[in-house]
Amino acid sequence: MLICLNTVAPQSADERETMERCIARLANGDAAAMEPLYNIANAAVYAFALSMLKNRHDAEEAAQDCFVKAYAGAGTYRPQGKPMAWLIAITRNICLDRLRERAKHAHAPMEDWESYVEQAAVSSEDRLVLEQCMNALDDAERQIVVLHAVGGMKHRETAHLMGMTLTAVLSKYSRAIKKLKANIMQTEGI
Amino acid sequence: MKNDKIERSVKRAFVNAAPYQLDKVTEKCKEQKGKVIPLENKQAKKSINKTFARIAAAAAALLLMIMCSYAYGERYGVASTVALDVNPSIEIGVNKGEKVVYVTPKNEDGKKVIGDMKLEGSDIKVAVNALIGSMLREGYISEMANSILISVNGDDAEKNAAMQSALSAEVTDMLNTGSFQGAVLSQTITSDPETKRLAEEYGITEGKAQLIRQITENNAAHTFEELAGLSVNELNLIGESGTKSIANVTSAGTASERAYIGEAEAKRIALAHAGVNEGDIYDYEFEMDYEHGAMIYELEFDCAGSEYEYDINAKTGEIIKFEADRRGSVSPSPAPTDAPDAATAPASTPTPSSTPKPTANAESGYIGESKAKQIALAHAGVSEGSIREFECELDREDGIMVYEIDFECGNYEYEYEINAATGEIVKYDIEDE
Repeated sequence: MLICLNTVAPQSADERETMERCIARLANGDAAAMEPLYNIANAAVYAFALSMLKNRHDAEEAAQDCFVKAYAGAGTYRPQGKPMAWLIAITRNICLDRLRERAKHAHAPMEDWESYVEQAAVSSEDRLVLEQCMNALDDAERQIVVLHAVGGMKHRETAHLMGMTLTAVLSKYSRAIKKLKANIMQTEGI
Repeated sequence: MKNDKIERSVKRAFVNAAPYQLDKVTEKCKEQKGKVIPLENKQAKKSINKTFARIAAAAAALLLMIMCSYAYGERYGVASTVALDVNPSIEIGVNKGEKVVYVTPKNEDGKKVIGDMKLEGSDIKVAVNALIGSMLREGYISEMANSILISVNGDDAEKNAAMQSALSAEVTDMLNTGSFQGAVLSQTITSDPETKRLAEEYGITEGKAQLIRQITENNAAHTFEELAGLSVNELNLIGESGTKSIANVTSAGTASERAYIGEAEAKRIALAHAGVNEGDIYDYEFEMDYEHGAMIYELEFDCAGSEYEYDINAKTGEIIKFEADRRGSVSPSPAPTDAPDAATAPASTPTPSSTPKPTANAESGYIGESKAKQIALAHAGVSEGSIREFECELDREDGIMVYEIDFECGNYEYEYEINAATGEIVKYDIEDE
């Protein structure tokens, strides 16, 4: 069901076009277009939600809400070749709302990303990588890495989304990858 | 382990960890479709008491609004208001018979447009006609700036919509009989305390305030304050460029770009600066925006695996901002496979961001990383043994190849850009951590 692509970034033009076609179909009320859209974008949307909320349950709900909102708002999407950036912007707003709610009620759920280990598909190597992404990187670094590596977004799209300069995104990205590389190599004893 | 392998590992880990929840999504979408107003989860979770309190408060507010509007209508006979915004902003009060009760300028330009015209008692269409005629004569609407915003506000939604569409058609016809095509934005608005407050604070109509609020909601990079001074043509250009259409605004015609250098010229300037050919670029994107206090063209494109971004002043053609990630073109050769990872690494084409940094050996004609480091450390007056987090990258900045050097020493962060060919320090920055 889940396919690992060999190349990580940027997202292919074909994939972008497929996503745009799905969004247009959703705008016309064709609910069947949700499945192909979901299959392409789910991992990125979920990974980004997790990188912001650091809680598995909240990230799951946020990812669901993102697709529901995309369905409701498909008519407002303008096809400009940035469907992933659009979905991620929706996710970001949902997550910011949730973070504001948390702050208001002064309750922060446990950072429970560790429960991935229960999932059969997650190998020990995956777990090590997740651990490093969640613990070794700061919030901005983690989000930038996830958007590029998982979402296939261009650095400049990330810069727009996060209100940062391209240079700042590149520098954080490069720093984050270096950290991951050093930590993973160290843990693996390489 | 190479960068692209790290990226692939990150992708694989998150793909495997992401739960597959399509059924739940489909179910929620169906639920939402059955509702008149989409509810968010957090609203559903509110306690019953809170919900009742909110309904009661909303009902009280509504009653107050009805009472106020009734009293207001009785006293002045105003059933709805029509606002015209170009750069001049004018508000027209209209009674139930669609006759003009009052005409109020909202700014100095509005005063000039009204002049000594006495429009009270005339039909709204006649008044709008006269005001648009005056705006054309005074040069506020021209082929350089052809956009106008019509906003109708009143209690009767059906009547508002009918008036919006009639006035929009009237103004479009009127503008299109001239030597250029007009761009007419129209909307019906409902009074909102925040919009009213902003309109009063910035001396604009509520209609324009609502338009600006929607643009800022679509694009968080803008603030109300910076957009409040723009003309409707400029706002229309920004709105047309956005990734989301402006909700509830009907648009006819295209905003004029005649006052600016145009996309083709902006593209030519950017490509010449980047030193690349038009035929070699891909993923080209173009947007008009308002940044750095001016209307700008934002151009983005990729070439040979590198990402370029330009902000060009739309009036003067000056390059305001330029950013490029030139890593792809610096080292086009594929990365050698990392021996320890060879067994698990899937075969892949190297991506721009994963291309390794060039080493000193490959940099013929450049001073080399160690020489660059020596120059930076000498300038900073620190010894090699005392620095931490040293990083060095070869990159292109503003058309020249530089070594970008970062390191930390004591409580300071140092950043240097050193001309890769001459060793000259192009830029440095020392920051207190």
